[in-house]
Amino acid sequence: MRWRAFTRQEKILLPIAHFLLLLIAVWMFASFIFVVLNSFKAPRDYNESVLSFPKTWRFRNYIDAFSISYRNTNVLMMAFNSIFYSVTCTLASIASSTVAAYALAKYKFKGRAFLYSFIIAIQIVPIFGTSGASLLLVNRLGLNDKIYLIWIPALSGFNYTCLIMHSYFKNISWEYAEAAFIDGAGNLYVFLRIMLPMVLPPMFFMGLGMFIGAWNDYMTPLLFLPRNPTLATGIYYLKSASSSLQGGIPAFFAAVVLSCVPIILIFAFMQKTIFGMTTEGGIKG
Amino acid sequence: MLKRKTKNNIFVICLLVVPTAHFLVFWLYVNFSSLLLGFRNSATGAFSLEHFTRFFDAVKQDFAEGGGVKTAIGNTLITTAKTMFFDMPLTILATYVLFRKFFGHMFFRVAFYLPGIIGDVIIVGMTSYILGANGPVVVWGQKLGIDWGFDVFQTGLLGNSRTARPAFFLTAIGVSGGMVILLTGALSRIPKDLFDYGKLEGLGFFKELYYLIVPLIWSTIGIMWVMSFAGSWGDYSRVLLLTNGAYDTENFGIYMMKYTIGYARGADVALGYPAAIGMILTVVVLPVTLFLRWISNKLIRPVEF
Repeated sequence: MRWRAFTRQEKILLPIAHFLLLLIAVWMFASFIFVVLNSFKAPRDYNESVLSFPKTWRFRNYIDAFSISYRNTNVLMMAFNSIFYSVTCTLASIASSTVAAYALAKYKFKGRAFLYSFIIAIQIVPIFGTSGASLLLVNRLGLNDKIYLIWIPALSGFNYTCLIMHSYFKNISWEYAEAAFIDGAGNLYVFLRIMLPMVLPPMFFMGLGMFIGAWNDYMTPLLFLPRNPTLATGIYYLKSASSSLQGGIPAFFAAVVLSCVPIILIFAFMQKTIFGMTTEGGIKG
Repeated sequence: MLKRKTKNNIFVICLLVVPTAHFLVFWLYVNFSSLLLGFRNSATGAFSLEHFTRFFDAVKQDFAEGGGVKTAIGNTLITTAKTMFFDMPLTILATYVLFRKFFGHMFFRVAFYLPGIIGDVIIVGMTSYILGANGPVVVWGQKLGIDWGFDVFQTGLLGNSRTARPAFFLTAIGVSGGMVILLTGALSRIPKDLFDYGKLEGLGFFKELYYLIVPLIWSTIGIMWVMSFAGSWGDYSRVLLLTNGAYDTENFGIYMMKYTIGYARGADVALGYPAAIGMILTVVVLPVTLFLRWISNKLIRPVEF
């Protein structure tokens, strides 16, 4: 856009708007840049100045980061816990939501309209103070501290993802299914081989969001996996003890950077998918 | 051989059995259990209003003498106002800049989305180092002539009662990447013809934003506006990561959550107390949420296109 094409008012307001957003953007980035920069410093350099560039770039911090541990769980083990927790919870949630959405979108049954409205209502109605009851339930079910079973509470099907998938299933013509039924296919075949492949892109997009959310979730593992911390939970705990760790705060920062790498890589490679899905279905015919 | 309708019914039951079971256990039972917890005496298990009485006594005392509940409610109201009247307009502006691909939009796209991708524990948690005694804000502020006071050079901006609260709120102003995604989706559904008509009518960028875009996506903005109000009352993440509620930064979310965290760590706490507070909060916030939704629809009538 040419600067000359802007009106006088825009020539004043646009730079102000840009400056404001730039301030906020820099601030939002600042803590991450700060951590990356200082993750390459020796502890002495860090104590001398947190603002300067590293005098010598100490890559050893990234090796020391692997020796950091919390409750006998080192960074590698925390990474494994993070991967396991994120993948299993994502798969559980997306599967449960998708099958619920398919049933609601494609099959007529008693109470379907009520169920759909109810799912919308429980997304909107704020309910507070149930974390204690959740904790007691998880203990009672014997799920507490069992990382291999922590995906069970994530099997939620009546959620926001269900509503999104419902809208995608609604847009798929039922004629595909009817043609398959004529050929002798059953409901399961139609779902798995015809309908599901058509909604793989939004499933992938929703799953990506869930994975990122689960990766960054520190509170659920804090409450339900006290002896199996994930990277996010480990960082939360280790923050208060960072100066006494081997390698000091710079090594802790290196561990923090390492914990971001998978997510940043996903974001970098999936940018087009992430931003593309936000505009899908936007053009009215 | 089963009839088609029977086969369909069996299939639907199979599809819904897991989500329904999950809902019954992890939503219905949990909420019912939370209700019972709130009305149960911690020692005897009998029906009791002790948790509600304890909370109302705390409210009376803290409002009279200044204390935790008063601070928590005050801070939550400040956070709510900040989110609804600062963050939301900034987010709308940011979305518009990205949508219109103004200069720097690629940088802004990464800058606003990356914090949501990296997560609170890093972006927010590491902010405490930036606001620390040797951090860039204190050091550069001193170079710019700001007189922080002796205590800040010992504890940082978040480590003393004088500066913790202002620093906490000022540094919380920002743009939500998640909201930007939702608003971008809403913007993309506006027919391109309308923008062309606006141009023909002589609308500049800001008039386009104010007179055309905001009314057209007001239903999305309105929902986000209302949900940010409700969300503020249960949100505790930023407080937990930066100050743990110390130095008068406690909000209502952390006021309730600290009991659950304490219980998870083995402390002897009565979970009925936060459950009771949660019930009171639900009863208060729900009608206010609906009222705000009604106001948002009255402010600007949602436009269908």
